[in-house]
Amino acid sequence: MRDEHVDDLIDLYALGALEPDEQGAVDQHLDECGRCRALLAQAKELVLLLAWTPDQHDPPPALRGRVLRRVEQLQRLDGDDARPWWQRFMTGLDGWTPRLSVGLAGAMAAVLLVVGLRMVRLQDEVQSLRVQLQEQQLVVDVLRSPDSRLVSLAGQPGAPGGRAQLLLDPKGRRAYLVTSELEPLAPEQTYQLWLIADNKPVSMGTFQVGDAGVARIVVQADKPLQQFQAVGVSIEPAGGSPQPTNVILLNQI
Amino acid sequence: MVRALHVTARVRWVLGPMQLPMCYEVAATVVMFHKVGETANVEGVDEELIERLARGELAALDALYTRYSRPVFSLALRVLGNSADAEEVTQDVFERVWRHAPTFSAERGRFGTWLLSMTHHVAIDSVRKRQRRPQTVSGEAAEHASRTLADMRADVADATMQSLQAQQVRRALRSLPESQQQAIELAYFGGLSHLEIAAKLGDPLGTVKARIRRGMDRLRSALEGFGVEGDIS
Repeated sequence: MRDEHVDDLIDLYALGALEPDEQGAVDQHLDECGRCRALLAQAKELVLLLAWTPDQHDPPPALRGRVLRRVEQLQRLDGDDARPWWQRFMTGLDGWTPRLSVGLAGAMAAVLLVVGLRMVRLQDEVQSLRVQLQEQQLVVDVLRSPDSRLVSLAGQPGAPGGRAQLLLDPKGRRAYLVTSELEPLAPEQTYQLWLIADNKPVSMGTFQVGDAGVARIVVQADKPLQQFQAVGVSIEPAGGSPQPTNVILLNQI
Repeated sequence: MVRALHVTARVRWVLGPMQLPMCYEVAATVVMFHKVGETANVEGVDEELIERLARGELAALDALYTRYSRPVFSLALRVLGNSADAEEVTQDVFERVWRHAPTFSAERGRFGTWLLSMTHHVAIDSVRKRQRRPQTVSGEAAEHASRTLADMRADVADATMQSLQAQQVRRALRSLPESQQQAIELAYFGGLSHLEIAAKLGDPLGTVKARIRRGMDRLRSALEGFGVEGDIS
C-alpha cells in the first residue's frame, strides 16, 4: 500500500471508520504521498460539515451554571488558574524570556550552592558518626571479654589535676582511654599517652582535650596489653617526645 | 453584523452613560444572532472572546457558551443518544475550551470548527468507553485532537458554515439514499468502523464501503458550490 494510492480508503479514513491496521497502512502511505494528503484534507472538510447536521436542541438552562461553576472551581483549586502549568507558563511568557532565563539560572545556582554546602556538612557529620560508631564498637568488643577491666589513672604529685580511665582487655591489643578535667594546653604543648613494658615507655600518640578536659582515644598496641605493666599520660612539647618528661597521670595495668 | 451592532448600541442607550462590561455587549450581540438561527463568527468575535478567555476572563467563556452550546449539545446528543451524557460531554468540552484557550490559534482554523471537532471526538470517546470496545480514539487522543484538529485546513469548511445555512448541509445529507446516509451516520455519529457497520447491518463489507464512498461523493457534489471541492484525481 505504501506505493499505491489509497483513494478507496480516504473517505473511510476521514470518517474514522477504518480498522486500526488499515489506518496504520494508510498513515504510512500518506507520509509519502502529497496527492492522497490533499484528497484527505478535502474529505476531512466534508466530514467536518457533518458536525452541523444534527437537529438542534437547546441544552437544559441549568447546564450553563454548572459549566461556569466548574471552571470557576478549577480556577480556585490552583490559585487563579487550574490550567496545566505549561499552559500558564506559555500564557505569561511573552517578553519575559530573557529575565526568566536569568532568574531561573540564578535560582538554580543558589539551589546548587545550598545543596552543595549541605552535602559537605552531611559528609562531615557522616565521618564523625562513623568514628563514634567505631569507638562504641570497640567498647562493646572490650566489654564482651570476661577479662575486661577499667584502670583509673591517678594524678601524680604536683600535677595540675585531671583524671583518665582506660578500658581494656588484657589479652587484646586495643584499649579505650577517656580523660576528663584535663586543662587545655598552650599551642606549644601536647598531652602524650604511654604504655610501659619492662620500664621502657612506648608512645601511643599525642592528643589535645576538648570541652571539660575530655579526650577519647583508641589505643592500638603492637602486642597484647597484658605484656605492659603501666599506662601514663605526660605533658610534652608540641609534636611529642621520645621519652616522657612530665608525667601527670599514671597507674598499673 | 449591522443588526448585531445595532442591538449593542440600543442596550447602551437604554442603560445610559454608564460603562457596560464587555461581556454584556457580546451577550447582546449573540442573542441577536441566536435568534437569526445561526452561530456565526462575525469579524473575529470568537477570536476576541478566546483571547479574553486565555487571559482568565470567565465572562468570555459565558459568551462562548451562549454562542455555541446549542450546536455542541446537539452534536453530543446525536452521538450519545441521551441528554445526561450529552450534558456531561458539553461540560467537558467547554472545560477544554477554557484549558486550551491559550494555545488556540485562529490562523490554523476557525473556533467553531475546532470546537465541534473536539465535541465529536469527546462524544465518540465517551461512546466507546461506554461500550467498552477497543478504542481507536483514546482519551489522550481526543485531547490531542482537540489541540491539533485546527491544523486540518478547516478554514474552508468554516467559511462555508458562515455563508451556508446548516439546514442546507442537513438537507444534502438527508437527500442521500437511506442506505448511504445510514452508513455515513453510523460511521460519523456512531463511531463504528466499516467492519462493525457491516456486522450491524448484516451487509457485505464491500457493500458498506461502496455505500460510504458513494454517499460521500454525492455530498461532495451537493456542497461543491459552498467551498468543498470535488475529486481532484
